[in-house]
Amino acid sequence: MARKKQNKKKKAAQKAKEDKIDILDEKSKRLSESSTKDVSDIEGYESAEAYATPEEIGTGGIVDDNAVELSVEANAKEEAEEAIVSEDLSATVAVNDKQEDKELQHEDEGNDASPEANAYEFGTEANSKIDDDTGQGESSQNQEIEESQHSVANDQVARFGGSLVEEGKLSNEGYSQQAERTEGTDIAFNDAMSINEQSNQEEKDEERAGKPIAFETEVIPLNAEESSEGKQDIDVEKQEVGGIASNDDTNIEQSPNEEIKKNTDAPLSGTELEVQDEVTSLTEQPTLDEGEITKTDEATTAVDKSSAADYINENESTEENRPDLNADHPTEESIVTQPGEYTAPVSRILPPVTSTASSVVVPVDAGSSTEASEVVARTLNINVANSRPPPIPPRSSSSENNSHEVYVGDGNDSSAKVSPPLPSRTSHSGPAIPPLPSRKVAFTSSRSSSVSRSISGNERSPSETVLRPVPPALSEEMKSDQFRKNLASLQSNSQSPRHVSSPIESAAEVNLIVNRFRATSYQIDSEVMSKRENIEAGQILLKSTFNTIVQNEENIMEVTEQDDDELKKIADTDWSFWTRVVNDFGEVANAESERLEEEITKGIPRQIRGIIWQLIANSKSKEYEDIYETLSTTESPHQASINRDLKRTNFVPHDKIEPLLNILSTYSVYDPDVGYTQGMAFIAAPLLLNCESEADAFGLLVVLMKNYGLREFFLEEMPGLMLTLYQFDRLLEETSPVLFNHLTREGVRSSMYATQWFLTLFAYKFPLEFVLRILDVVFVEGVESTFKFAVNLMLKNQLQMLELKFDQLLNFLKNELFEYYLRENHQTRSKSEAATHVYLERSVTPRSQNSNRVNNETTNDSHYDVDLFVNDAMEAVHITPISLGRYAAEYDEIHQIEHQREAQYEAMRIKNQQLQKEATKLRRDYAQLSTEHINIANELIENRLKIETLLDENNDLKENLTHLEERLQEEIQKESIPNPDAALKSDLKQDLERTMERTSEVMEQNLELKEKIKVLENSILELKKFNKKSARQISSIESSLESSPANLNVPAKENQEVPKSPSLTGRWTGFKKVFRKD
Amino acid sequence: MNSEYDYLFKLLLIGNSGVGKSCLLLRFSDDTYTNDYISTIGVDFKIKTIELDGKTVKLQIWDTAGQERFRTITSSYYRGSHGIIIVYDVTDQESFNGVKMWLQEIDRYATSAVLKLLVGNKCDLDGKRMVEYDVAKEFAESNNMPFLETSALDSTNVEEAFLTMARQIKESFAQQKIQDGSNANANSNLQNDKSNVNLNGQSLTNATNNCC
Repeated sequence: MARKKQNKKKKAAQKAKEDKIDILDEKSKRLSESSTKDVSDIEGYESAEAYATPEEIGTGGIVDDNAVELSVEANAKEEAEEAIVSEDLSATVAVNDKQEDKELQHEDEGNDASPEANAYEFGTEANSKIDDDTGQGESSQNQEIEESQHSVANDQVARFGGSLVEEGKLSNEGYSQQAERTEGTDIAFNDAMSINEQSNQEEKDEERAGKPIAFETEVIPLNAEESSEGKQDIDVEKQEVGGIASNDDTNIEQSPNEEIKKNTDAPLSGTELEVQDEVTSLTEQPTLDEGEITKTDEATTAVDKSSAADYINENESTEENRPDLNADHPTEESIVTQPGEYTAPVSRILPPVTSTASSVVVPVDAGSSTEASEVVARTLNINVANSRPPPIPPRSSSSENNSHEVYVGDGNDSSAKVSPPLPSRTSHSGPAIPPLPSRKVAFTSSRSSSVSRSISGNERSPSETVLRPVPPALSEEMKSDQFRKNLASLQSNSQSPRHVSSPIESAAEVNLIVNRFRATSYQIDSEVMSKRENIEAGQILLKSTFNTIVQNEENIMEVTEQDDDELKKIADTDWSFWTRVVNDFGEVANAESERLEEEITKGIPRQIRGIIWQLIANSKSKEYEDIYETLSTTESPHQASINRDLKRTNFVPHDKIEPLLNILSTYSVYDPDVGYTQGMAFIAAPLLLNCESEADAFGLLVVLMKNYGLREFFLEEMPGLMLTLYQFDRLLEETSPVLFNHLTREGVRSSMYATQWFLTLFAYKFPLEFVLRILDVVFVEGVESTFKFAVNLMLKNQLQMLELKFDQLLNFLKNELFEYYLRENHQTRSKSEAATHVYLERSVTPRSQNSNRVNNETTNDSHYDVDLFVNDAMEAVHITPISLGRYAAEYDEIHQIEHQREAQYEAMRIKNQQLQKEATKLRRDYAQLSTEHINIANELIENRLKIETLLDENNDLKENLTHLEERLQEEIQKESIPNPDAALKSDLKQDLERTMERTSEVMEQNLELKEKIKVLENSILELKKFNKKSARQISSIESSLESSPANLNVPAKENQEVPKSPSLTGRWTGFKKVFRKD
Repeated sequence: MNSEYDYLFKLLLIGNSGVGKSCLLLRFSDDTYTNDYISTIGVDFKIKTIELDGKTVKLQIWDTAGQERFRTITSSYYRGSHGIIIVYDVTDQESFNGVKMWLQEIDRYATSAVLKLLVGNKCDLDGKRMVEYDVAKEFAESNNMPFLETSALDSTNVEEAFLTMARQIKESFAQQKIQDGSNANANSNLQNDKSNVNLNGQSLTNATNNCC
């Protein structure tokens, strides 16, 4: 205490230096004690560096001194505790890291000339630390620890800030130094840039990107401190640290110690202690600085760096101790949140929240932080900072860190300036983070990415250091190019993945209304000038018609008694509000979005519904009218199907079918990619019913399709529908996992029932009055709002559906879902539930200008409580563009995978077909072969049988052969011994034949001979006669010739005898011969 | 669940837009007819339980949007179905020409064992007929599917169409069972054959041995 004051007044640099040195020595001792052997060198180095820097530093010591004292005390205690806690290694690591960081920072600082820049660096460093912490805390377990670290860090930052502030005081001798600060920021910027360029030749781009932002972020704490008195801030911080909310410096000093004690006493392990020690060391350094103002900056920066390093180290080291820390930290936090709490406490609280919320929250913060930095540069951080904490959308831990830092810095300012609700929010926001980010935060931040980069870069460095428990001398390492390269590469690596936040997303931080409005206005802005003019002209037209209608209504109001429900309704209508909507929808959407949502929920008054639609959608334009004029005459290629679809339905009044047909066919010509898809009629019909002309309805349809994204639903492959169904699934899963599971288990997919909802904006089966009200919401909030209705319906019917099976479920989903809002049903239900629903009694007298359909509807409509329906949907289901965007990203991924799978499947299918073909072919071949085989086998058998028989024959023949051979042998033998009988026999035969022949011959001869004999006998007789004659003659002759020659007698005699004798003898001998033989 | 029915068949109705798939289904499931039926968006679904050869068969019939654009949604219903009924409009040549395309869709998305049935609807409008019965019949036969002409208006053949489908599926179920059994038999037969052959071969060699 005393020292502080003295320092302030005297600015005794020397003393400070001495103190510092002492402290450093102590610290180094401590470190050496606590740390393992290797660390000692580093420590020495550290201390040396510390010496060097502090010596040069002059200002900023006052607060620091106190801090130093505190820290010293703390150190002592801590040391003791540290001894108890066995985390020396971690401590050493931390030290190492610190050293490295310091070195880096030193280099940078070396370049920096202005103290302010240093101060900024402070901030940046602090930020970076925080970032690092968060980054480390990405793992949920670590988060709590990190929180504690954060708090510590915050404290540190605060202190630093305080020191800086003090420096500022020294320089300016005044608390209000905004001008300087701003300048300082600028300078810091420049410096940072220069530093970056100089120091990081290798890392150039990355570092630039990161560092400048870091500087910006740095600015925030400064501002905060500046606004609130630096001292007080510091004190407050100290108080926070200590957990005691005392304003006195003395108390503060004590409190830190106490806090430290508490911390140390508490199960918090050495890590915390270390952290504190580090803090103290940091504070210590500043004390030394007091002597020399110019160099204080460096010292402070060095301190910052060291602190940052410590931070990081702590985080790392604390990992071991997490459980304990977790237990303790909450208490700390609770203590911290006190009356005028700065955002700093909030930030402390936040980390745990984020941890619980897991990764979801972060990204927004990143964006916000960047924005914040910008804002801060303009000295307007407070609001932003305040507004930010609530949203905390999770994405990158690093961004979170930034935000924390911002909070810390702002905390002081904000607490004073912030509007009442915000602080309370922030203080309590820890556990329950509002889903919607504040609107102010939502700038399209191209910088967010850069911020995240810087953060990530910072993050990385610690991790790198962690990797080396025993690093070389820091100075050496720092100098090595290799080290820088590594660092740069690490940073660059870390940068790329952090690039998450896109301008769209940041725009999506808002609610649906604003989101929708932005999209619309963006669309319009991107239009050509002529088109825009057309639209504006259309708007003016609409406004005038609106005015006439309103006047009309007012007249009616004036004229008639208010006994009619309808008129009551008219009376209830806030015409002025709608007038405002008509006059400047943008203003209403941005500034009064909640009110707008309320009114929309109540429904747009029937009389002005069409006009409001057109106004909101900016659909009234000469352009569309012209298009409609020109295209409506052209024949649509879809004419036939449009005709068929419309002719066979009667869901629109008959006099509207023709216009509807025209609109649809015109659209199909206008947008050939979409052409005509079934379902479009359901969208166009209600539009038509609420528009004066076909062209107006056409314009609305076009806008719905193109600007509202409905077109995606009707394109080839229906990408929008598929995405929407997926998003719906996820929403349902999130809002009612029970129902979702039930449906899934029953095999009911959303495509089975919800297709028609989204494709027709519920017009397919829902009563028209529902549809109109849904359209009201859709025009204001975008097509995404259909999710609200869909999910709400599911939720409301959940109990019933949980008891249904597949068939019934489908039937129910298709036909009975909205019966929940049957008036009777609901009244009975509400009675039983004793629910106190406020019914906005709606009257249903048909309006003359409305069509039959509407008349019918309105009468039917009395059965349903449409207001309740819309109300429930709007209240029960909260849908943010963020979550939808997330689902969309998921879907894209899944879709891609599915696509791949499908392609694979397709390929496999084709292959399968081929293989099947082959298989059938092979089967056929096989069958053929087997039949062939069988045939062959049969043949074989036959042949074998044949062979058998042949063999048998063969055998027989062989036997014969042998037999014959034997006989032959015998014969041969017989022949060699001739057989008389055999010869005889043959001879006999032959003889017999011969004899037979002979006999026949003989017989013939006999016959011949007999004949000859006869002849001869005859001749004998003749001869005898002749003889007698001759005898007489002879006698006569003899008598006469007795004397004549005897010759004549003799020859005659001989002649007679010769013929007889041969024949007789021949015959006789022949006979003799024959008989003789036998 | 199982006690309620013996079989659960999933049927799918496909065909060009406006051929009367929904009417057909409505006639079959509810025995009603409306002239102004709204075009189907996505898919619709009806259940009908029938008696078939003494068995209770539950038919789960999916009615699909006919427009091509909806194929992204409808195509996922092919795979699970046992039978697919392709409907065309006898008064609309275009719808009959589309049958080929629908067959391709079936090839692409359905299982190969799926059974098909061709139905020419609106046969009551004989005066406006554009697709002759014989042509369609021939076409159906060439594609191995039964064919019927129906009228959802006068309910001609509507019941028959679905019953035909159901019977077909049931038979194929039974056949599959038999096939499963007979396949084994066939295999054993085949093996027997083989063994016979082998035996013969052996005997042959024996014989030749003997011979030698």
